[in-house]
Parts: sequence; C-alpha cells; structure tokens
Amino acid sequence: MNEYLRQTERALRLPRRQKREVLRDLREIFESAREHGESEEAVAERLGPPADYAAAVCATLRGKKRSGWALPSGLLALAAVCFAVVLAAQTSRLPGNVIGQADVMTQIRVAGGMDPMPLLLAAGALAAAGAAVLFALRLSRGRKEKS
Amino acid sequence: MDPRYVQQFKKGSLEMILLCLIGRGETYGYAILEELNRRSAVLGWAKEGTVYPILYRLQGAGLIQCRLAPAAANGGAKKLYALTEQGRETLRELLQFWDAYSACVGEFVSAFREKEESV
Repeated sequence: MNEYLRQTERALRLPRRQKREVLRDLREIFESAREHGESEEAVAERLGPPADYAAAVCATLRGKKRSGWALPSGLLALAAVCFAVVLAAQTSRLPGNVIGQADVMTQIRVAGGMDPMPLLLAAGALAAAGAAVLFALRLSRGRKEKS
Repeated sequence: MDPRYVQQFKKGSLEMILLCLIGRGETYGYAILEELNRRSAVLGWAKEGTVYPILYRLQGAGLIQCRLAPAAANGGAKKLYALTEQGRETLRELLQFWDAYSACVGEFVSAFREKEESV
C-alpha cells in the first residue's frame, strides 16, 4: 500500500491540499478493502498503475481549477487604477513654479515630503507587465490544449 | 456488440446513479463500490479509479459533501458522503429529465420492434 501511495503521490500534479485529500482517500480504499478481506495486491490490480490512477484523478480535479484569466485581469485592472490616479493627480496639480498667476488668491505649494506619484507609476507599470506576461502564458496554454 | 456502445451509456449515467445512491443516505467509498457491484452483470465491475474521480467532480460542483467518521477498525477514518441541498435539487431535475428521456427513447424502441414484428 505504502509503495502504491508513494508512486501515486509522485504522479499527482495537484495543489498540496488536494493531493493530501486524494492520498487520504487512497489509504481508505486500501484499508476498507482489507476489512472486507481483500488483499493489497487485489486492490492495486483493480486500481491499475499508480500513474493511471493519478491521471484519472488529476483530469477531474484540474478541470475545476480557475480558468487562468482571473489573475491577469486583476493585474490589468490594478495597472489601470494606478495610471488613472497618477493622471488625475497630474492634471489637477498646478505647475510647481506658478506663483501669482491666479486672479484672486495666490496658491503656493510647498514641495517636499514623499511624492507617491513615481511609486504609483512604477506599481502600475509592474502590474501591467505582469498582466501582459500572464495573458501571454494563458493564451499559449489555451492553444496547446486545443491542439 | 462493440463494448464502446455500452460504455457510452454507463459513462453518461454513472453520475446520476451515484447521486441516487448517495441520496438514499450517508454512505462511504467501499459501500458505494459494493452496491454498484451487486449489479455488475449489467453495470460491469465498478472500480475506484472510475468512482472516485466522479465523487471529486460531484463534490467540486457542490452536489455532495463529505465528513470524516472514525472507522470501527484500525483507527482510520471513513469519509461519509451525503447529498447537499443543491445536490438534491439537481438530482430531482436530472430525474425529471431522465424520465422524459427514457420515455422518448422507449418510443423509438417500441416503434422499431413493432415494425420488425410485423415483417
């Protein structure tokens, strides 16, 4: 049984939590069968090669995984928000050297402190780049699955 | 007869069979297998490699749920499966369709038989 479990574990391409669940079930399969007087060899034969069992399980469980579009779409949205904030700040901000051009009051801005704009710009760029890479990966995977 | 024809039928109906079986009351893996194998003459021998992937799929779809119960022997635990409310609802709809479907297929079958007998 342990050898069968070990080989199945090696062949299972699943997230750790799902893998643990599948292996727990597999242990129960062997133990239940033993309670009913079946030998481990008989169970192993019915299950087929560990790689086949793993493949059958993976085929169902992996279909449940997220489509792969969610993360790149989220990153793209994040990038858009970052750029939008930077753009909005740029247009509402007066040029730094404007003094006394206003009709009524003079607005003087004191420069200093941390300017969050470069940071936001960088975060936006990073998110956009990440989204682009993930989109490309997802697209190539889709093409592979189709062919 | 090409066994593939039969396999197609079984493939399509095994999920519904499992939902019916689990819907009768909480049950666990080996008991499910035994219950199926009582009808092996028609269904063929059930295997864990076929049944468990379907259980995973039904669970993933939220139609069945499971809980661990301590097993009598060897200190292990058995996973008990039960229908969820959504599963019961889906099964009802599925059975409704099944009735209509089998009646419809039956019409074709009996029309063919009648024709054959009249020849």
